[in-house]
Amino acid sequence: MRMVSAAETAPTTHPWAVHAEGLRVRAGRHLAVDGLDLALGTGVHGLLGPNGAGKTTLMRALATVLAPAGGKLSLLGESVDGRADLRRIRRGLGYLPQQFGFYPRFTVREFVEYMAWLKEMPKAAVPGAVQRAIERVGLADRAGKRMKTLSGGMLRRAGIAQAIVNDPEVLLLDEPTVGLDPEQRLDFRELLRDLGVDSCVLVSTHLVEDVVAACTDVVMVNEGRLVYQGTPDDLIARGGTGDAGDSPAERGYSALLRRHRAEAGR
Amino acid sequence: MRWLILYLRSRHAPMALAVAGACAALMWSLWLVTSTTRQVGAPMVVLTVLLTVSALTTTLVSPDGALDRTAALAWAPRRAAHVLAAFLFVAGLLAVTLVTPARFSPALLVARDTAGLLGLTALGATVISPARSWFLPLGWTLAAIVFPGSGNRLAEALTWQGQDPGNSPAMVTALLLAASGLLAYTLAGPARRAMTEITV
Repeated sequence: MRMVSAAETAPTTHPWAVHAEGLRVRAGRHLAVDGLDLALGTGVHGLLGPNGAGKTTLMRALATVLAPAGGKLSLLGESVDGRADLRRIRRGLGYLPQQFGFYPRFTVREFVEYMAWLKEMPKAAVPGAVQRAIERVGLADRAGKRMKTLSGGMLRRAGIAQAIVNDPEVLLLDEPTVGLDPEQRLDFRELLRDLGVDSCVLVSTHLVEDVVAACTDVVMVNEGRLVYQGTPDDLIARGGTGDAGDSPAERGYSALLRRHRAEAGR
Repeated sequence: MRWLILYLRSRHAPMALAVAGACAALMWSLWLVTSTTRQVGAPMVVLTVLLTVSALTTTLVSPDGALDRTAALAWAPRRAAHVLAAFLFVAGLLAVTLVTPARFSPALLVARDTAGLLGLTALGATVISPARSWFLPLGWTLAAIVFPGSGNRLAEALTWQGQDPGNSPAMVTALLLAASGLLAYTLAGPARRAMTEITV
C-alpha cells in the first residue's frame, strides 16, 4: 500500500503541464529555439524534427537546465523566469538527457536511489520507488550490477529508471530508444502508454514509428519553431503517395517538413 | 546519511581522501628520513598543502551537470559545506602532525595556504572547468616557491604561498582567493562549459 499525500490529491489548477509562448532558448551563441509556441497536457507527446531542429535545446529548457532567453515558459503552472521557485517544479520533473554522466562504480540501484534523493523524495518512499522504477524498465535482474558493466541499451534503461523514479508530472525523455533492441522498444512503448495515463510525457526521437505506436500526440519542430501539433492519425493523413518514406507516418512527416520548408523559403 | 554516502561516492571522495592522505604521509615520512630537525621546512609545508588540495580537486566535479541542475534539493549550502569540509580535512590532516616527530607548522601558514589554494581551485572549477582547475594552483605555487618575491608589497602578494605567515599582503591575497572561490562555487557550482551543448 502507498501513502497518498494531500499534495497528490489536490486538484490541478493549471490548464497545461507545459506552456510556452514565443519561447527562445540559446544553445551557446546560436538561438536554437526561436519563437516556439507549445501547450502540452497529460498524455504522451512525440517530439519529431530533423537534426538541428532544436529538440534537445527545447528539452533542456523544459528540464530547467537552460534558462529561456526570451518569451514565456510555465511548467506545472509556475512561470520559469529568474525569480521562479525552480525547486518545486523540479520535484515534479523527470529528465533523461541525450547522454548522461554517472559514477561508474554505482550499482543500478544506487544510481537510481541517488537521483531519488536529488529529487527530494520522502526518505521512507525512496527504497520502494527505486525498486519499482527499476522493475518498470526491466532491469530488476541487473539492479545489483555496477553501471560500468552495463551495455548501451541497459544504460539507457537505467537512465529512464532515474527519470521516472519520482513519478514525475512532467517527464522529458531525449532519445530514449537509442540502443534498445526491437523487443525492448516494444516494452518501452508499453511503459510510455502506461506513464502517459496520468502525466505529461515528452519523448524526442527520430523514429516516426515509435511516435505513431506509443504517442497520443505528435509535436514537430524545425529550425526552433513549431511546425505541427496533432494526432498520429492526422500525421498519417497528411502524407500522400508522392511523399518520401516507407510507411504512411513517414510520408506524413516528409510532407509536413517539405511544406514548412517551402513556406519558410518564400 | 545515506544521501551523504552516495553523494561522496559519486564525487570520488573516498579515492580523493585516500590519495590526499597518502600524499601527506609520503611528505611526512620523507621529512622524517631526510632531516634532523622536528620542524618541517616552509617550502615542504607549502608543497604538502598543494598536493593534498590538488588531490581533493576531483571531488568538485559532478558526474553529470544536467542531472545535478535538475535536482530539487538546495545545492548552495551543500556546495559551501563541501568546500569548508575540504578545508577542514587538509588543515586537520596537517594539524595531526604537530604531535609527531615531523611537525607541519606554523598553523597560520597551513591555514592560509590551504584556504587560498582551495579557493583558487574552487574558482577554477567554477569559471574554467573542474577537470582543469588543479593547473593554476600548481603552476602558481611552484613559481612562487622557486621565485619568492620580497621587499615589495606587490611581489609579496603575488608570491603569497611562500611568504611568512605574518606577511599581510600574502594574507590578503589568500583571503581574497578563499572568499571568492567559496562564493563562486557556492552560488554557481561546477562550470557548465565542461559539457558540450548539442542540438539535434
